[in-house]
Amino acid sequence: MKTPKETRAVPRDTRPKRRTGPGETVVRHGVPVSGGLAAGPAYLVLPQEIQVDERQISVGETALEVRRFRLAVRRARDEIHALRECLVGDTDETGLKVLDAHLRLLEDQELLKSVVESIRRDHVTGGASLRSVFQKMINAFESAGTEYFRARSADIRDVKRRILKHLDGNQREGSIIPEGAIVVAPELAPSESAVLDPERVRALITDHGGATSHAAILARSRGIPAVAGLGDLSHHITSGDWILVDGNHGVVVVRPGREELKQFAARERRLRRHSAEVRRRQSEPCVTRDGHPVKLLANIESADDLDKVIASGADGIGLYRTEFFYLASSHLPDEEGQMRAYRQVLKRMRPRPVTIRTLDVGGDKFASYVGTSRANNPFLGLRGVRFLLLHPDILRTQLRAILRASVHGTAQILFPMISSLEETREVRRLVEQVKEELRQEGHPFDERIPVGIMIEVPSAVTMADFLARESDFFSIGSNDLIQYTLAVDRGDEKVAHLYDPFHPAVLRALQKTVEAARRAGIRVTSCGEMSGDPYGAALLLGFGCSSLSMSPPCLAEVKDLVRRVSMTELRNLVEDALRRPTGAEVRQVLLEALRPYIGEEASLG
Amino acid sequence: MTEQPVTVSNYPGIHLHPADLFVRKAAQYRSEVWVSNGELTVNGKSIMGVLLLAAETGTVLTIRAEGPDEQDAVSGLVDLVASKFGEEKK
Repeated sequence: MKTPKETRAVPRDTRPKRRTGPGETVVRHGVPVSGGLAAGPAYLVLPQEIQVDERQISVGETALEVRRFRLAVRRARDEIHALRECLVGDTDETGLKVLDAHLRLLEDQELLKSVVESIRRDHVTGGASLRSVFQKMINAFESAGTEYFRARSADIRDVKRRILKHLDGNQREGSIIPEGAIVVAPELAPSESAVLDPERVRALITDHGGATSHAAILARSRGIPAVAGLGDLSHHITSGDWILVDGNHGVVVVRPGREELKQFAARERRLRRHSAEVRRRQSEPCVTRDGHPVKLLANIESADDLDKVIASGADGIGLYRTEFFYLASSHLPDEEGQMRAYRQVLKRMRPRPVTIRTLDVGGDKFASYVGTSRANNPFLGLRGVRFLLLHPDILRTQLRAILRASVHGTAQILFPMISSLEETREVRRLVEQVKEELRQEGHPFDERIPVGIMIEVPSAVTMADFLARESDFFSIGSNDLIQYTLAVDRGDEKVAHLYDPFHPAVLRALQKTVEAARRAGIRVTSCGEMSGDPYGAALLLGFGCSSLSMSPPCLAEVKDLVRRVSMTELRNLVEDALRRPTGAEVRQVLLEALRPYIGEEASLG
Repeated sequence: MTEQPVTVSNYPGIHLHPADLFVRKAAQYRSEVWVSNGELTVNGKSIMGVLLLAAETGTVLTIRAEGPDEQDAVSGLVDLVASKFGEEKK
């Protein structure tokens, strides 16, 4: 008999073997959904391909088939009860709620009756019958109008899969994740992510999904570094492969070579050193060598992130994403609830500014919510402000909440996905309308609250001069701007290598945007991943961004850079970079110019 | 028999978790409960039924009950939907 040690999926010698796995080192960029660095052996969680036995059965077999089905349902229930046990006492109840609802479906008498009747009437197997009964529910969901609602059929599929697995008879033991593993999956079903154990799981990487999937939300609330939207990366990974995960930048390295390992170790050391230093340096001003102050701001999703923000010494919140609210609860958050949340953040940050972005749904957000049908072209579809203008009631509630909270600190409103002046005017008109309502009702608010727009669509760049005259500030959403400018979906493996923040076209777009803002006398900040990357940050500052907003863990590194360089150097660097005709040459210029400041440890990208 | 229409106002609509809350509430009443979305009418005490309604935000549902506490059942369930499924327990 084998000893337990030998059956472990992870080699006991956890040092990476050189070139063991098939294939070479793979570096892949995805969506950073939960911060932190981690290295460890891969553990693949693959959706079990379940064969449904489709044959007709004889009348004599039906009784047995019904028994088999009932047993499978009971086992599925037991399994959920067991999973539930692991979560009881968790402060975060998201996982429990998922499992409770699954349990209700497994206990639904009408559902069980339908399946049993179909077995008896149509002489089909339990699996086939179950599938057709579930398919009706799934079809009903899939015919829904909104993407987000359609995506919610994931839960129903998840329950179906669980019963089928037990019907199958040869179901594998529910996967026990080896300690210290990096969980690799095409995507995680809601019930699978519900039970991710932070004690065992060192990091989580998935092919699909975005920052608002169940898995992402849970990873963040449990402090597990995670990267999503990695294309088909799981196909290139075998359990046991050594993996490096950078949850701050969304970079994953599979089977790293000596060079990547060295860099990663250096990065980990730096990060540790930084976190020790950062407290000491928190009070030091963030100014360049030649005395130009730079504001470093933080991106957050909820008030839970504030401790990290305060610890990082950020000068404010440059991007407060509000999608989390809408996902974390089963209903549209009401005005009071939102107001309380905004107030909490504003009070805590006071007098530092907090930029609240209105609901930004669509694209990679709800669209990629675990495994479902998508709009044909979600990135070109109903996203950001387009969604809000179609649902003015949702926007109105959110604006009322923001405005009412605005008396408790320094708030700013930011609208995503603006692609025309009409949209800018329309949202400003709505803001004024809501202000008037509040005045009538006697609610106090900040009369001079700045209203800004995201610059993330090429048409907004092209029209930046006009937009700047009717906006209080710009915020450059570099991730989307790069994707739209280069027509590259970073989640698509075949073209992901074309995603290049240093493409000359991107540089020109940045220049045009900042220039338009400068002429109109408004502020420009940037809140994409580029801001948190030292090279990207150098460029953005050189162009003239007055502040940069990034995920809190990136702050230390960028601050370090700011304090070492001079603004004159950065401006010269930008001028030089703008003269280069290819991305590779721009990179070369950046590497050389910044080598003295960023050192041997280049960012993983 | 008592019946009353109600508009689904939670976002994005009645998916698995709100459906769970709905049938749990419906189970508290002795009356039979039926819910309709247009042509389709389902048993309001069955989560499968409620899911089949595929009731997105903005859908108008008709809640119907028949039995000893039919009025309470209808008003209780209408309130639940209208209140966007209430505040979730903390």
